[in-house]
Amino acid sequence: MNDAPPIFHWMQSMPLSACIRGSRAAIPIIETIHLLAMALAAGTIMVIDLSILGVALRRESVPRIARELGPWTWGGFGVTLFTGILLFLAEAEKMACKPVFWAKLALLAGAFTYHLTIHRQLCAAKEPFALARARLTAGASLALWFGVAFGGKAIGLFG
Amino acid sequence: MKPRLLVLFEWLNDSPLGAAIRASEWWYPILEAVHSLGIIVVLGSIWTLDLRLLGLGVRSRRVSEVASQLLPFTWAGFGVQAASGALLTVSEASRLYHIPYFWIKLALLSLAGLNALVFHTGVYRSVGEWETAPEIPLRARLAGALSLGLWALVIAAGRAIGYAL
Repeated sequence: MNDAPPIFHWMQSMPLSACIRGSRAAIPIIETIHLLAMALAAGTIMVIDLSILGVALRRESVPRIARELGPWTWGGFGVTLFTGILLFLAEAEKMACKPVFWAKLALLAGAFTYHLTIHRQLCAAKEPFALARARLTAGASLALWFGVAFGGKAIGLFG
Repeated sequence: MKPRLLVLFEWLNDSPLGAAIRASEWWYPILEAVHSLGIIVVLGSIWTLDLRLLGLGVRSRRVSEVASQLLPFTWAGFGVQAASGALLTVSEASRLYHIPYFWIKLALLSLAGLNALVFHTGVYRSVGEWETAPEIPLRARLAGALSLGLWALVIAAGRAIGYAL
């Protein structure tokens, strides 16, 4: 427990962190918002991926749908990130000692990079894309985001 | 005398199925993980439709297209949630009976179901007439807003059960 680098102790000692820990309701409320915002971000990405796969909403409309859902994905992302940081600050030392937490963060970094590069490229493609490429791109996206969400749950279950 | 419902919940709790889930090291976390990930499928599909009813999100698609294309995923996700939720309930039935959030969640689920029923048997029947009109009828927008909020509250109540257990 005490082998976390000093920076995590410093984070946890901030007045904001102490304030979150001090209130009984704060962590459950922040966690619920974290969960709902995550569902909005991952859920809208899922709809785009289902569209890319051609199993929901026609494939021809992918660029349009991706543009229309983009603000909701990013809004969800923003709130998830913000509440996630608050949750981390409140228990920085404990979290820093959990390998599951760092695994989730690594997966998140991977999913985020993937979303901004390969996924974005396919969503913006003007030409209709090959089905094999679509399956691979959307399948990987779904696996990554469900993986990140599972990582979050795993912190509570196994962390 | 014990309330009948409590007798039922204790019977479920002590059933071989309930005991088996509690005894296994893996069943409970697996069910919990499935029940958590299922949220993305249910909310992602239903919220996209709700937003569309409010004139937001996938505005380039017709309401009927969004509904017919995404509701099968809502139902599939809901099936997974109902099955995993039922198993989780059986495994902790005796304690859940005494947790108000559990009953609040079931009530909210019923309200969400009722809202969907009213929508689909009501204003949605004439979707062909209004989905191309510049404005979505108030009843449809109201159904979207209610669904959006009720499903969020269902998740919040579910999260609260986790803290109370």
